[in-house]
Amino acid sequence: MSIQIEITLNGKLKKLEVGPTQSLLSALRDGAKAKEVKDGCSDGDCGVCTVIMDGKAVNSCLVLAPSADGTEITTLKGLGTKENPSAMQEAFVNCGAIQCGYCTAGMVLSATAFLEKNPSPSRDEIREGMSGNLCRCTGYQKIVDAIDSAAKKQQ
Amino acid sequence: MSEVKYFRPRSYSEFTDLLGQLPTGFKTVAGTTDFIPAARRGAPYPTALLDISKLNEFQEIKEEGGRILIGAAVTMADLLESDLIIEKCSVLASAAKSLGSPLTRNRATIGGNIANASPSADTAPVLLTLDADVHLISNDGLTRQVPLTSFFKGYKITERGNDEIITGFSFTTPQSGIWSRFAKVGQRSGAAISVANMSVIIDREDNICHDIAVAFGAVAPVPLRAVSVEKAAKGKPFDNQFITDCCEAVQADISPISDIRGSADYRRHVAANILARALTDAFA
Repeated sequence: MSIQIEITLNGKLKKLEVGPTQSLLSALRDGAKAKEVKDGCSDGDCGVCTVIMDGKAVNSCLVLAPSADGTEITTLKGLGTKENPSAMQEAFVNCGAIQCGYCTAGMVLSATAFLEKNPSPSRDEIREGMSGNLCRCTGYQKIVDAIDSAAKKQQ
Repeated sequence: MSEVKYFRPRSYSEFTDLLGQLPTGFKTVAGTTDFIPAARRGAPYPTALLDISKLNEFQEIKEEGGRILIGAAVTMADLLESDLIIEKCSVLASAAKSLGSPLTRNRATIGGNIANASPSADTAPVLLTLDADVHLISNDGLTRQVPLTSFFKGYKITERGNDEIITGFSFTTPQSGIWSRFAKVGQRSGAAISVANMSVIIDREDNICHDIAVAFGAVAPVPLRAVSVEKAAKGKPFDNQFITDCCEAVQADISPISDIRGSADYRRHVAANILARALTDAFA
C-alpha cells in the first residue's frame, strides 16, 4: 500500500509516496532527500533525527510517515544558511557547542523549539528541555552555554 | 508487511464510518512512540493501522458535570501544559512530565500509555488513584466504560478486546484541598523508564487520614492499587506507627521482579521509601 502525503518542508510544499509503516525519518532522508536529517538510534533514544513538526520538536524516527500528512516540518536547512544562520546556529558556533557534529542538527532544532516555548529559561530548564538529545562529545556544558546565549540575545 | 493497510480518519463521522470496515487484526496507533520501537524489535505488523492522532474529538481535555474527560490521543505535552489539569489534577501533569523526554512527550499519548499496559506506564498509577474509567468503542460501534481498576488483567493483557479502541478516560474532578503526589524512581532523572512509580491522593484533616488512594507501577505484572496500604491508613491518625503500618502493608500489595532496571529487593525498598516520604510530606 503506497500512500501519497503532502508536507510543507522548510516552507515548500512537497508530495511524497510513503509506506504505511515507513518512518518520517526515512521518508525525509530517502524520499525528500533531506539528508540534513540524521539517523542515530532509530529508536527514540538519542534525538539525532529531531525535526520540528507543527511547532513541536519530535523524533522523526518515531513518527509514521503517513501520519505526517498535512504537517509543517522544519529541518536544519529550514533554520538558516551558512551566510545567514539563525541565532541558535550562530550561538552553537560561537560557543563551541559542536565537536563531532553528529548530534548538532537535532540539538539545534530541539533548542529552537524549546526557546519558542520558554524564551528565558534557567540553565536547569535548558538541561531538562534538551534531555531528549544526547551528545557524547561536549559534556553538554557548551550546548547549554549556546542556548543560554541565544536566549539572552533574543531578548 | 507491505500489505499493511493504513487508515487515518479526519473527523469523528469518518471514524465511525470506518469502524465496520476495519479488517480483523487491526491496531490503533497515535503517537507511535511505543509501536515503532516494538516493530523494530520484531513485533509482528498488524493487518491495518488505525491512526487516531488527527481526530479532534480524541485530543480534547475538558470538564463536564464534575468530571474531567481526556481523549485517547491527548499527548503528555498536552497534559502537562493544560491549565485544567495543572489546576485541578496536578498529579497527572506531574506524571506526564516524568514520562520519556520532551521529544517523546510531544508524541506519546495517554491512550497509548494505557493500551500498551506496560507495568511501568507512568500515567497508570495516577489514573488508578483517580478511579478513572476507560472509554471503549468496538468496531461494531458499541461503546462501554470500564473502571481502570479492573482493566489490567495480566502482564500487558487488558480488558480491551482486539476489536476495541480506547477513545478516552474520565474521572470525577478531584476536590480542592486534597493532597496528591506522583513519585518515580528511575535510573536517571531524564528519559528513564520507571523502576517504581507511585501516585498518592489523600483527603486529610489535621492529623487524620480520612481517605486515601495509593497506586504503584513497575512493582507487579500490572499497575495496581495498594489496597492493603489504603486499608491500613484509612481513618487513622498520622504518627510513626502509621508510616510503619503503611510501609509494611505495601509489601503485601506488590510482587516485583528483578530485571535490567533493578532487583525485586530494591523495588520493595524503594516502594516503601517513596510511600513513607509521601505520607510524611502529606502530613507535614
